[in-house]
Amino acid sequence: MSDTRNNNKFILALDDDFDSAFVKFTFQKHGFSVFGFTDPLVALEHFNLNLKDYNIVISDMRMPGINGNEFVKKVKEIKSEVKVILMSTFEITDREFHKGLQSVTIDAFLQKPFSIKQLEHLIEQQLLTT
Amino acid sequence: MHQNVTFSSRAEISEHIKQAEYGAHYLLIYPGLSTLREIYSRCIKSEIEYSNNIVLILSYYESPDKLRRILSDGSDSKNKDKDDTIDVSKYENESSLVIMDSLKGYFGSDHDYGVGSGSNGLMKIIRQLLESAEEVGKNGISVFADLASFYHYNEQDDYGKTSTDRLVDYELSLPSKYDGMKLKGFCIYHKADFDRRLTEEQKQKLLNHHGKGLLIDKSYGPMS
Repeated sequence: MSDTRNNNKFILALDDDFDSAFVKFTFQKHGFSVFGFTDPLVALEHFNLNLKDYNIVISDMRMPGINGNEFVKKVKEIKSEVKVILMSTFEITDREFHKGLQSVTIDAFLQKPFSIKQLEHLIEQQLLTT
Repeated sequence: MHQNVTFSSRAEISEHIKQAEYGAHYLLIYPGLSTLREIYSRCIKSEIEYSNNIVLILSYYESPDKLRRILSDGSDSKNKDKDDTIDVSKYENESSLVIMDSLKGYFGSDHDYGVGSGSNGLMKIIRQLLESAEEVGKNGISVFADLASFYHYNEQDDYGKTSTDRLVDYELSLPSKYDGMKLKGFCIYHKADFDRRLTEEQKQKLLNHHGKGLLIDKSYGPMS
């Protein structure tokens, strides 16, 4: 498991400074290498420039300037095989799923708040299918 | 007559909001969530406790529960400023404070566009709050609404309108001043949404349509 962790970097795009710092700290504490961004456009630029480094992108759903759906769509256009985990504090209704999310490929969805165990499990699952 | 006012501290902007008269329909652009939290912490307390208003918040980037925690604990939980905190449960129970997800407020519980069905529903809520303000001896109501929910489904509708078109249409359908109403309305925009999603012409239209544009002179980061 530690090899998996050491060999994989993640991009985190979150809407909130505190959440971003907290999640990043938690990841790093558990041996993951993470780059965190609160501006999704900067995250996209970084992803575009460092494509080879990333197999997983984790993104909030509600973000200013470009929302989670738009962000994921652009990420997949840049690198279709990258795994994307979308997270949100808000409940996702059926309508929202069909209207917004079906047009983009989400590999996993995580409801906030979540435990680090849930997140780890999800990441391990995604890495196994990479 | 439209006027833009630029602020560099939360105290200035909070004071300006406090001084706003009934009928005001202002546009507020915030540079980041930490700034908005500070503004909320200070202004919501002031609107409820000193102006004796009912407050309706339509929040988009903060969940209602998170906003409740911010208002209860202060905007900066590490450096709690107890002067800015409020008893959220008490105010919600007595209906002095109503916190909603902006997406539900504007687009209904099933998040349906419904050509403005949600925003019509929102106007009903506002009218009900105005009535109950009168019944319970409140002076009026203050509405803080984050319009970012219009971008939640960023796609064209059956008439070829984009989310930005729908947002601009909605804003321009509202009066520039709520004449004769005990209502203060603050349309709130994240700077990244305002800067990146609107054309210069749309920005000007929106600013000109509101009584005042309240701009915060800091880019993406906390205010002093």
